[in-house]
Amino acid sequence: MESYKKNSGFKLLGCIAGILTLAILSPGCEKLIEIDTPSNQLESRNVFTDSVTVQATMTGIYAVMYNTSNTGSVIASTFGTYLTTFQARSADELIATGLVDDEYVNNNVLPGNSLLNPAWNALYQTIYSTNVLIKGLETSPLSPTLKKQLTAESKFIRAYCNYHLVNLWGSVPLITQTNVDITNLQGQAPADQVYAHIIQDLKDAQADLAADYSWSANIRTRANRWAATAMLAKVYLHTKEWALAEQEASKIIANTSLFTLPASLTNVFLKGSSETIWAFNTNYSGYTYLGRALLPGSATSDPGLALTPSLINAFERDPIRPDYEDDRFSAWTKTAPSGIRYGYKYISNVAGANTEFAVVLRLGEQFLIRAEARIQQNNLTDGAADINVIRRRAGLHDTFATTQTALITAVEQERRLELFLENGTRWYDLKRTGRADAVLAALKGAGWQSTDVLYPIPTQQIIANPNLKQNPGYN
Amino acid sequence: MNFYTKVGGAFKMHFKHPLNKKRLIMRINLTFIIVFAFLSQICANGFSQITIKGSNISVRELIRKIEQQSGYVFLMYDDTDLLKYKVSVALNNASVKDALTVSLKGTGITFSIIEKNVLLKKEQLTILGKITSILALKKDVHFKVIGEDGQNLIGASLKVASTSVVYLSDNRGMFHLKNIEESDIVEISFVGYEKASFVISNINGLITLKKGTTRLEEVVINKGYYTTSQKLNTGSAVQVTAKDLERQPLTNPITSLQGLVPGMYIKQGSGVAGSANSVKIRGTSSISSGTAPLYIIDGVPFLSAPVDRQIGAGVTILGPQANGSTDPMSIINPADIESITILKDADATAIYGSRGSNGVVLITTKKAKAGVSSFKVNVQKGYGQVVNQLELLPVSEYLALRRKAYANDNITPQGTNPTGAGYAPDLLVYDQGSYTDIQDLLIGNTSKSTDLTTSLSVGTVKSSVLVSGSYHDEKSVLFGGQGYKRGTVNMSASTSSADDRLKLGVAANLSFGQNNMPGSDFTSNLYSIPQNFSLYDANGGINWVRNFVNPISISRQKFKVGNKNMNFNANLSYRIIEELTFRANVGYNRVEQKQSVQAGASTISPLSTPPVSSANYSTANTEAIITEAQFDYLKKLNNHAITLSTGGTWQGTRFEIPYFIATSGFSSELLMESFANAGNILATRALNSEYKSISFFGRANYNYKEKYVINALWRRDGSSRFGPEKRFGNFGSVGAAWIFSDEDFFKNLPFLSFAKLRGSFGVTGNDQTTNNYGYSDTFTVTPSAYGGIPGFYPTRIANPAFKWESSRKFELALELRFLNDRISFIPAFYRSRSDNMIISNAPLAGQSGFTSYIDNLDFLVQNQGFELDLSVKAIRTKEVQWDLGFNMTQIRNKVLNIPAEVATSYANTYVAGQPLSTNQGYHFTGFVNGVAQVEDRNGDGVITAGLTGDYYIHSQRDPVYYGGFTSGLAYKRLRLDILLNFAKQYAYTPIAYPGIFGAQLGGLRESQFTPSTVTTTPSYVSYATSYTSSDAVIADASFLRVRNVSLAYTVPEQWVKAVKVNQVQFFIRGQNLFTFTKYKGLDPETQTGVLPPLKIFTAGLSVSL
Repeated sequence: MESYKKNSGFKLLGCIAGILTLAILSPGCEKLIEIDTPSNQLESRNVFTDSVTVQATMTGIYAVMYNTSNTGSVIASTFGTYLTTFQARSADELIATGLVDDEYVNNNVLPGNSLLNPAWNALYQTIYSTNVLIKGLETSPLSPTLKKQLTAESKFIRAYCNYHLVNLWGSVPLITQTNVDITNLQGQAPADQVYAHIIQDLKDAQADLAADYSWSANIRTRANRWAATAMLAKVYLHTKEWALAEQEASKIIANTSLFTLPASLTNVFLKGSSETIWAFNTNYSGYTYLGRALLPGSATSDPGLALTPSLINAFERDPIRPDYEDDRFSAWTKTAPSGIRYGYKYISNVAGANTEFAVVLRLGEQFLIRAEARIQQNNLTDGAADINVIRRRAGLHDTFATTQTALITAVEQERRLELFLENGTRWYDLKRTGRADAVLAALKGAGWQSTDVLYPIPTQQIIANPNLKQNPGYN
Repeated sequence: MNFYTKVGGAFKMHFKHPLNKKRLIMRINLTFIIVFAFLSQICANGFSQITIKGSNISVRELIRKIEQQSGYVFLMYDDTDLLKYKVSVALNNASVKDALTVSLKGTGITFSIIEKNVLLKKEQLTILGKITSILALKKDVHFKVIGEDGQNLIGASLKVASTSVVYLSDNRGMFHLKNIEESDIVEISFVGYEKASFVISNINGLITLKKGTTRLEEVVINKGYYTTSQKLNTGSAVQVTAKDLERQPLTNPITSLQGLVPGMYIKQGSGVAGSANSVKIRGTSSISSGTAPLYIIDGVPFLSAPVDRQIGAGVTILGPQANGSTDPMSIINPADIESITILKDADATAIYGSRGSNGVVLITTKKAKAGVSSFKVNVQKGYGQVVNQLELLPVSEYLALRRKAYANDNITPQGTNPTGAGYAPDLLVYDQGSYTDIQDLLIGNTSKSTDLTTSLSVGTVKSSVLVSGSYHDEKSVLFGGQGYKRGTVNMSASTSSADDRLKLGVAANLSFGQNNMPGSDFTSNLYSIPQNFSLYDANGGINWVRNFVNPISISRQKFKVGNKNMNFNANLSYRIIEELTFRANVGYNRVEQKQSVQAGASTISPLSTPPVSSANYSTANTEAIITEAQFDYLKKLNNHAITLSTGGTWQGTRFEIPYFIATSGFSSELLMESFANAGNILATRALNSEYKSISFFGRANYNYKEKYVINALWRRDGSSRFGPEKRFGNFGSVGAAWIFSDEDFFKNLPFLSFAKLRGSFGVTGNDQTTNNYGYSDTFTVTPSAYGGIPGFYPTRIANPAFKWESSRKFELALELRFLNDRISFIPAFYRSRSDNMIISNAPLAGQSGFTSYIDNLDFLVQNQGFELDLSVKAIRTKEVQWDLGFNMTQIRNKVLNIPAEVATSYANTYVAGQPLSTNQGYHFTGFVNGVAQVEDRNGDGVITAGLTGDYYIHSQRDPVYYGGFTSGLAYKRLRLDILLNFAKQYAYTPIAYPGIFGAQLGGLRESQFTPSTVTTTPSYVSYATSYTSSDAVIADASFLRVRNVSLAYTVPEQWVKAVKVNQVQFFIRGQNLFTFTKYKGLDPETQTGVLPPLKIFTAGLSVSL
């Protein structure tokens, strides 16, 4: 054993090594396999501890909504294009010039339609982002002011997405959380439940959002209290809560320091328009995607989507008597050399001197909401007055309608001409007023079925979630 | 053994534990029993040499044994007391004379041998004798040890019995023993030769060792965290040594394993230098996780995926690379590798826990041999060519076919309007008489290669150092390809303390590679260029056309790949007490790849838009650090031997793409080496990610009488890739072996020299997803800003529940050796079932916010197969040795369960009962009026694609069976080695449509399609939509390939002795010399569209000093 005593140094080494090994084996080893996230990514737990990052997450929602689509092509943007062109084709606003069998125009949208599924996904992707933000802010250590603003803004966007979902598909899954184990297989909620949730979200947003545009450097590209109010007014029409709709619309109309109607129709969609309540910022692309989708590619080519004769003929046209000539026809529509007439609310479709934002909510609509709400409450005079505000700007004489029935028709007509190609308004109007069958069956003939008011749940969704029930008429 | 004896009265022992004599004696008895049990086997075989070990045996016993082993007869003078003397002996193959000299030394017994009679008598010492015995003559002895085949045995070890001092022979095979007693006995051993004992006084200059039948106990199998002997191994492990790798003139060491390892299928990506191999051990068991085995180089894990793809999601790939993608393994010099061990079953792989399910490949680099100093140089020169070129229609036939097609279409071809209908430049613009063999021009070149390898090793008994360097230069066979250069430096050093209790080793391996390829592998598109097209215009510039890309332009685009690899490892072992050893290992690996792809404006067609120079640049690197510590406890008691091990591992890996930059607009094409010279930066990216793992493991091995072995493993793994709750998982295996040839009832079978039945069962895992953050929800910067403010958005939904994919492996094997180990036969059956499949894009309902996420789906995949390994030592004479080997693997891959919730999503991909990767398509039923017809299998009246339509699965993509054949024949100084490999498989065959511009495959002569130039004719439509998706385009791509032939000649020693050279060897080698196949494409292994593996001839010289 003598020689071993000389090696006590080695023994010590052995002991150290042994201790090291035991250290590795100890329960604290979980720390040893913790990893950093990549430098271009953050985990959600790190997002909500930094005010700049949280705010970037909010602007990220807008950026993804408007600029990045599921299909990778910016032209294919759901919020920028499809949520206008789908409904416009299904209703009586647009026809596709190049397509023979347009499933939307023919009201024959198949569950496997290749564009319907991305739209569904884009809406729910946005809802997920808002839910992440709402949940993350609950426990965030950031300032209450910031938390309040961003939570409210998220709720507004969630409500906006749910508004489109419930209008396009009827009863849809109502997703209010992020846990995939629950949300993945959630079934549909009845439409009225979805509306109730939308209204609650909008009320919360209205209460907490700023009353000015200070959060977006005083340009109107982020939702504020007025956007929530405008949206609320709009939703109350769907729930037929006329008094509330009037009340909310009045709040906006009364705020003349922020919102006024530009005298010239060509100024309505401009960046600095005083009519805009909420619009998407188009600086990234340099043009509106709707302009890109509706305008012809060059001076000599045809547009892909033309206005229907029905819409063209709806405008009052009498060049001899100026107040019987609708100025909106010349300002907001245009004819290609081939004679095809197309929507011209947005005039630029190439990057460069972009002058327009993609407007979602504007004052003009609020006048018509209030008009409808007042007429429904039998306040015919004030209702007609609100219609006339819009008609006068279009260079038209005041409405001749006097009875409630006539005024209801008049407001429907006015909404059609004022709000055409704006985020599905016409399609939603026909559905909520129960006029779809009457109007569209006449126009589209045997292809129209009453069940066409709802789109089919996309096939991919039914496959992925067996709890989803297909809408009637699609089985 | 730690005790050595002299004989009789001078009985002397060297105890390690003098206080524990009782235990020692027990151990001696044990040793005695084992040794005798073993020896009796050998003695029975009639060896004339004497081998006896034992202590305290009587002279009577000794004599009886010598009589038995030698046939000598002992005679005795009257003194029978002599027989009662006790002696202790340790003899190995000693002559009778030596045996007696040694055994009887000091007993006072003398002997004399007359023919085969031995006469014993009591010694009558002379006075001189008495003095001599007191003074014990000492002297210096110098002698050489060679093998019976004439080889100098360098590094042979010699143990002096009386002192237990060990010597090693030098690089000429010489021993220099100083001051040694004439009567001392030495035991000399060398791997591959039989041990022998000699008495110093009987040695006169030269000792010859017999070539040994390597004993199973001596073959050490490296199983990563532990080693075992071949005999007691309970698992499936195959070891390939440097000899088999060195013979093949290949740049990638893994490619050299083709055909050598049962159960391992290697498919070369392409013939372009640096191309990646697809390596599968016992089939494909995973749907979207990695299927590559775990590679470990000197204890450090090494990722085999192309470096720029290791980072996983979000990766930016520069574009199609001529070699597919560079395999990091290809910059490791095969000459630096000492051995590769492939671990296959649960017993062998379970100790690698979460990463072992695809098998483990352990690579050990060369280390210096103790006691040997040598300097070796190896120079070789090679020539490579494409094995096979496709048969094409002669120009005249092609043009005739084109004219016929236009006639069929009723179209008058025109040559004036390139965008108009009926434009046929090949008929009306190109010179009808000219001809360029484009195939020969572009891929028919000869690649020249040069290799230089040097190594210097210096070894003493306790320490050794090795430094080696190599340089490889290879020109490309592709037109315009500049080629591939590689330099490597390998260093290793080891040392041990005087008492051998502390051992320390370090190894460092550096490689640098530069691969300059053309922009892409134009093998895929060169068959669509009419051969009467002139690639160059009248001024010698590129002849631009609209119909196709002129390959000259591709050849002028550059794809540059620079690779660096650094592998460092330090290990220490310390024997704390006799039974307990501590080991530690620290390793570091860094692989780096710098790439640029440069397309100068002059290489881009000016016909559509004005060309702009563009170039992309990127680097990628991966760094791994590993630290390991382990305790091993070994205890033997009578018939019982137990080994216990426990240890831990921590590994951290960091993946990074520091930059990816896409640029355009260079003022000069000569300035495209750097992005700094670009006018426009189009895109930039930078990515990084991490992976860490921690494990601890335990092993218990027990054997009884070296006859029954049980080996149990357990490993607990934590991996950062999984959710916080799912990070840790347990893996383990149990293996058992029964060496039934040691049972009494088998001892009567003289032809059976060894027989073992072994089996194992266990669970291993797979965490080879490139998604390092799948468990967490992460946010990424939006690709677009909103209102000028960059946004942040969720890019991944959290799945904290996802975890390992696991495989349950079962194996049952027999290991049989016949006729004194001349024939070895190892059949093995295995089955593995994998479930919990990690699916990187498991479908989600869009309402959850995402359409897919990473999740485990309840797929169940089974791989079941049969492996056979046969080796025969056909001839063993002094002049001729001939070894033959054959192995074969039959494999059946099957999806057993497809989870119901995703059955619809995968309905066109997987079918229960069928393999994971299949060839599916229509069933082709023939031609009707030149239009291809396919079967309406579901009878719905329409032909629809997909398995839910009219497709069916007609073959599997992986080989059905495969294997290899080896032959090694040595005649005197000449050695011939041959390696064949084969596979039974199916593959897409090259096809073309008759009449279309540029379609000129030889097979068109037999085509039954109605030739047409228009893609809307019924004939063409049937070609494009149904024929090309039918079973008609799948062909038998089975092959038998003469993969390697090597002929080497060793120059007789005396010729080179004068110039102080130890050994000179000349060799010529050939790779991929012949391929026997019915397959019509370029090559049945790489199939269509890529440059096939090259046929390579090399000649070289190796010199060692």
